Amino acid sequence: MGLISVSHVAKAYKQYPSRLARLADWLLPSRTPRHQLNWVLQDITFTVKPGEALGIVGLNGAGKSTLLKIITGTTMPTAGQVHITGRVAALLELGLGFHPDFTGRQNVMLAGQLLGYSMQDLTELMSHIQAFAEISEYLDQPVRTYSSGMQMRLAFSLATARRPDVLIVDEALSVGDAYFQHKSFERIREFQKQGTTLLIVSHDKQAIQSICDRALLLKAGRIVMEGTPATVMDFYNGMLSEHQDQSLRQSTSNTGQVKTVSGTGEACIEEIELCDLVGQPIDIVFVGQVVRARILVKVNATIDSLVLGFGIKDRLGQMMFGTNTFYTSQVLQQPELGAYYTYEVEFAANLGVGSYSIHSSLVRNNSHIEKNYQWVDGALVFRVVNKDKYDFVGCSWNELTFNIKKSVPTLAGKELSNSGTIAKQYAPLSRKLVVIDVGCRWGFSQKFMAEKDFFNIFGFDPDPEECERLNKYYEDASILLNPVALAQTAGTRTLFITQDPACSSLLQPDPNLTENYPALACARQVSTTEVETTTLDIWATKNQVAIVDYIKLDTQGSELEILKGAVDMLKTVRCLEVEVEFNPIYLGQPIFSEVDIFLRSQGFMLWKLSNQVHYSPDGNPNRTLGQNHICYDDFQIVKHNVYGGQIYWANAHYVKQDVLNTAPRSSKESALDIFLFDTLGMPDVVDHLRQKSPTGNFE
Amino acid sequence: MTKLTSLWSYRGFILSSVKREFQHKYQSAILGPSWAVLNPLAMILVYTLIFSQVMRTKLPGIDTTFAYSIYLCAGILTWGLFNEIVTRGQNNFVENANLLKKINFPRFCLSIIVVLNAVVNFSIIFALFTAFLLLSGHFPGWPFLALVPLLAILISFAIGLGMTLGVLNVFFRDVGQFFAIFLQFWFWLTPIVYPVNVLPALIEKIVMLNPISPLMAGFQDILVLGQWPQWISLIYPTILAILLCMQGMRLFRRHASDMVDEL
Repeated sequence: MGLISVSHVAKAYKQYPSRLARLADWLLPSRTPRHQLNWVLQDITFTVKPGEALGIVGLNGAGKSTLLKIITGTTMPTAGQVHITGRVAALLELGLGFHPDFTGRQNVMLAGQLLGYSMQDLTELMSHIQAFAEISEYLDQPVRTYSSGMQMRLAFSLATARRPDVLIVDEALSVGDAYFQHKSFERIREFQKQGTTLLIVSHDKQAIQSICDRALLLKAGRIVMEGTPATVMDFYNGMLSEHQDQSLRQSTSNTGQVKTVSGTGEACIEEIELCDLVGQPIDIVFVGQVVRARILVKVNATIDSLVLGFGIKDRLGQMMFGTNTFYTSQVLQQPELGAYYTYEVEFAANLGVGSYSIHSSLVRNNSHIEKNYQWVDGALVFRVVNKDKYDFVGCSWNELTFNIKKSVPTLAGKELSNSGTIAKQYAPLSRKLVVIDVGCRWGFSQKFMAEKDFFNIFGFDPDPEECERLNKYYEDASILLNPVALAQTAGTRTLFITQDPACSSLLQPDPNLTENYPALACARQVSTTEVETTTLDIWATKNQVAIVDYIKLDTQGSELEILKGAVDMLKTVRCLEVEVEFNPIYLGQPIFSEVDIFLRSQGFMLWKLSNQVHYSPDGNPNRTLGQNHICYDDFQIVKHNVYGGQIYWANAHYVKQDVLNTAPRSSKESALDIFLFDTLGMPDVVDHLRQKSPTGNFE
Repeated sequence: MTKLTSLWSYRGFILSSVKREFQHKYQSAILGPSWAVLNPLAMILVYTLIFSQVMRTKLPGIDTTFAYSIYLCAGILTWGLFNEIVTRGQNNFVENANLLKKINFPRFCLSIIVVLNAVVNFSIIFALFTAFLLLSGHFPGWPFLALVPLLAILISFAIGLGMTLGVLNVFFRDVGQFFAIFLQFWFWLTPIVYPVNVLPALIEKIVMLNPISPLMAGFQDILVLGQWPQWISLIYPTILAILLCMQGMRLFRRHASDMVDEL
């Protein structure tokens, strides 16, 4: 499977002097044909063994594409035979003949069937094809809306959806971007490993050299050369400038290295020598050794400028490094006729271990395409060996310094504390910690979810639908959602529903703000509804919740009311997070100072403010003042834009005074506190508590 | 035989191409495939209303209101089928150049797709027409079966011609241009809009040389008069259809390999 054998293939196109001549040729049989045969391929014979990769190179019009068409069978040879075994996948002229009006998917189905896939195969492969082509959003658009690169992506993905025995690729990959080229070459290499025979036409030297085992050079319809990719590519390169009436010759030295010399000969390289710094000729170079190449050049004709190109190529002919005296601004102007010039090129052999050759060229200016006096590939071969460096891989030497020291993760949050690690030292705790989240729309903080076995969580939101959704989402016995509206007293209140349901409040939004501050438009009132309210204390008594450790409140202005309805509960609370406003958004809303005075009266002290939010009115630029890194409670470092404008709200974190000030409580209580503050992301409080504990040992 | 089996293995491609082409015609229309019905329906309505109600055209010798309309439809619908296969056939290879150049598959698939597409379109319109015949009480009865051989001859004729033109058109684009004009003359030189007996005797003879004329006469006999066609008259178009098919295949075989080079 996968054998390609081409024997004596020739192809001629009939050339008629006129259309009428063709008509005559068709209608009036005659011995003398009225057309001329234009031979584009002659006597092409080669075999590609299964699993082998053959590259075909040649100038435009050399017959490469015609040859591939004959091999794939889309056109017939005038003479000779082609024989292929196994399934063939071919990408000719950048596509698979997609119909422009059909969608990508439809085209995959149609062309896929022509490539020999069954309908069922294609349905199964579709997701792979789609994933490989990475044009997902376009797959159901007509192909006419695709760029050529996208068409190629789809065609390649389709043609190679299954590993073929023979893969024929005609220049197709050059259309894709570098990313896809890389990706498709990966796939080609993968197939190659699994035994697919490859036939590739390309101008891309790297592609040919890195994939192919053998290359074939076509010129004017004939095979002019067959050999290793490096040799053929060197010759091909020389041929690129052959139109300048120059000679091109290759010779094989007794070491097997092929030397390619081409050029018009106005100047020529007489000698090349590689020496160490003492001047001794060498052919073994140590990694990193500084060496000197000496090139003797003779000027044979009157020329206006002379540039020497110099480079080092690896065994496969890939240029490791190269430049020329044009780029180093050392062009020789009007070199003297008949004179010799010596170029000394000093370089450090920062190369990987292996065999390298020196490439040198004499040209008029920056490239050889315009005027190529002489071009010598493989003139001098040297080996690089590793004498005094540590072992390394790769094709270049690069001194690496490793600095190793023992350390902890550097992220600020991680260094301060690591949720759960301290806590787990003290588990099992004497009881579960109780958390109340008032205004729990959208769910609970990740910090609790990560340790939820240690918590009883009660969520409150006046919207029963949201409560039901969260209930379904969490499905956890330790999480209880209460579709209850809270206030300072039990009774009936008006709930102002806002544009964004999360901004709904027991207080009326200030229309002046919601109209003039674009960022506050979410709080625009849309309707009202009557709700029954209760207080946290009533709820706790009814549900026999005796101890609450932590409360989080975010209820758009009614936080103070709710706290005032929870005076009994606050006695056990150790920590509290409340959203506070500095400038009211809702009419009659208590602001930070009022909340603060109340909480102080309940034995709390302000620990920190987080998440300060500033807003500007309509038309004022939303100016960024800078960027802060903030550490979220769940220890994520987030880049946070600090905006200018008036401050509106923040989250205030309160800690019960006696947690910090009074004598140590029982070790059980301390363990609970440490666990709580650790989970809340307040490592500073944790440190304080641990210092306070005389032994740090909790039974 | 190997040709046939290889065609069979491409049946999936042929069927989905037919389906796609049909879908494609209507996919960006809001009413979608209903246009496939609405279009011919409108045509039948126009012919029946204009000729039977507005112009009150009568066929000589027959005295029903719809006779002329049915006469017209019998000819125009079948001519439509013939016309579609020939026109699409002659542009077939040129239009699919992109595909032919890139994938190696039996080119004959393309011809089959053209014929199947035309048959699908014809079936829709002809089913509607048959429904009209049934509803208006003009259904011909058993002679209706004779439509099968008649259509078979018509389609073979169209395939042979279409294929011949299709191959020729690749090499001589004049063929396509010329035949577009020629088909118009052909239409009017066929007794479709007019009954053949209104012509002067000499011209009638010339018109009957036209191989499509006996076929049309057959359709009209069946659908208008409810009579079996005159089988003898069909020998001539049948032979011609076979010859055309053979010629088409011969041309196709001989030049298929050069076609891709020319496209």
